[in-house]
Amino acid sequence: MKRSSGRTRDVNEALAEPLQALAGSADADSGSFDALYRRSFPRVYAYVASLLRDRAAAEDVTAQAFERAYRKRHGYRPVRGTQEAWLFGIARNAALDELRRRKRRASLESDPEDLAAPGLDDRAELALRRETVRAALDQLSPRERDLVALKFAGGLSNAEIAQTLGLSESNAGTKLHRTIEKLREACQS
Amino acid sequence: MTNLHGTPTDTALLAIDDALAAGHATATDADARELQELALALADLSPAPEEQFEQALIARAEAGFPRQPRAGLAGRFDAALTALRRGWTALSDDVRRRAGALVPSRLRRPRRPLLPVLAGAASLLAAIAVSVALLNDDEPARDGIQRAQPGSSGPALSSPSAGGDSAQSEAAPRELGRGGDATTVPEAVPPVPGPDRDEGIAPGERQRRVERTASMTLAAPEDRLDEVGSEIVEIAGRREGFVLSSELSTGDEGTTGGSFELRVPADELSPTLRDLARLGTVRSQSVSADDRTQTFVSTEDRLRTSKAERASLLKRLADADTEREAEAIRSRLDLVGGQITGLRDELRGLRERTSFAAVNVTLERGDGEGSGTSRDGVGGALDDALHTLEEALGIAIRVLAVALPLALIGLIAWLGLRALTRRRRESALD
Repeated sequence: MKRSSGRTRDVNEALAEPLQALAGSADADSGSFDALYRRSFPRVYAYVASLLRDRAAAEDVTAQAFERAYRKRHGYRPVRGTQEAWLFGIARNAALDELRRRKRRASLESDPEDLAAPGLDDRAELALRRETVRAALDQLSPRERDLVALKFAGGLSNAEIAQTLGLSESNAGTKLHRTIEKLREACQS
Repeated sequence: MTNLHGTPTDTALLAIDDALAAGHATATDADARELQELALALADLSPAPEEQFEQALIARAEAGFPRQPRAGLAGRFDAALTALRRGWTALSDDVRRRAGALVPSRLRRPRRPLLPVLAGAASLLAAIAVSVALLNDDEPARDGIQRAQPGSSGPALSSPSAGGDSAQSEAAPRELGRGGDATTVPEAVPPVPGPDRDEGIAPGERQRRVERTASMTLAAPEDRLDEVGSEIVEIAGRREGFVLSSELSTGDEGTTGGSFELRVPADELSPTLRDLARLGTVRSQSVSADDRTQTFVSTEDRLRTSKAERASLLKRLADADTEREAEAIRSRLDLVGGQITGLRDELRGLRERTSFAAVNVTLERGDGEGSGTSRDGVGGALDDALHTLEEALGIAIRVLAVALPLALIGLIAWLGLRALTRRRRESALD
């Protein structure tokens, strides 16, 4: 996440005091809502955008998810899972609500530019590769895409995915492996 | 890759995690490397948020995610609610901080949402209210207490002044009113039709005349019988009543029992019974009520008729032409005068019996178990404490009996609603 240090301090000052209660670990800083926000904002956005495939809707839902998390921050229970799993659960619910409301799938308006600047040959090869993967993703069911989004856009561990989806860790791992194999076959075909 | 000895699934997942952590493919095995490259490509596809959105969200976070203000009355309501919530949060945070300073960190519990607590408290209050209502309904059936409603044919205690109305009124000569003057009506007088219960219930009468009687059997320790007897008399006086008769039996071992006949104002009957119950163990108690309105109204009518007849006779006496005629009218006047006196006495008796309730108290020797609150000393205090504990336990059981099913229903409803919401949400992915 790109943020100026001044901005980060502002957020810290505004949120740190009332949000210390969101302690999930021994480290007070990492337990604060601000720390969670900083750690997970781009990943939450990426997950929601991957699921909704609509940039404007993804922004609304991301904002909604953080707002809900902020208001429900005292309801977080460390025994139920990590803060990330809790936050992604909220984001997923908000995204599914949005999907249900719209009852349609919208594609992303545009893809973001690559942060790294590869050479011309590399860029062409990369673009082709991305197009192949995107086409393979389209062949997945929505549930499988949800799993892929949690893993690769959300950057969650298998245990956190299991907590978010309410599955056992081994079950989540098996499903993930099966989905990736399916994706690989789709890429090769 | 850190582990190549697990199941194929574990191995593949570990390879993916390694690549994502390193940012590039690390596996030497071609198959695993292909998987890693796919994982990296998938991660690379992740959309990044726009700077403008990020800044806007940070600004909202700094402001504590303010809600969008609504217009009009709803907006004012929201503002008031927000102020209230902020005040509550500030207060609870302050209290929690102060309390937290006194409690070791390992004992501190995370904050609980307010809503479930309020819901729980509301359920508990409802349960208590229902339980108390049930408890009150149960009360008359306990301790052998019987209550008869006005006009009911249930077991009613008969008292010397309250019994057998018809028989009493038809008797000649009749004695009207206890302790009153005995009025003798000559045999020649046609019997005054007595009030009959079958005559009706006088439904139009607003002021009901209800005769109340109660009887109570009290047990007290032998050494306290005298004291309790005195207290019974005191209670009658305190309740603006009086003792009609009292008797204390004495044997070789001292006082063995007694009986008291009290009269207390009708509206003081319940407090009197409560006071009496505190003096010892209530072995039995019965209360009855008899609606005498119809009798009262009927007697008043007959008195009016008799007075009118007397007035007519007096007029006829004044106009009498012969001595014989005058003598006959005078004789009739005597009869009617006797009727009037009798009816007046009857009315007075009825007024007394409906204004004052008859309370018959029988005092017996008892072992003092469960005796009233007037016992002194440590034993009395212990008894009181046990009694209070017993009552509290009874209330608690009743509260639980109501609260548990309510809580169970609430839990099932909540779980059902949660499952339904989850299913609806998940349907977005179907």
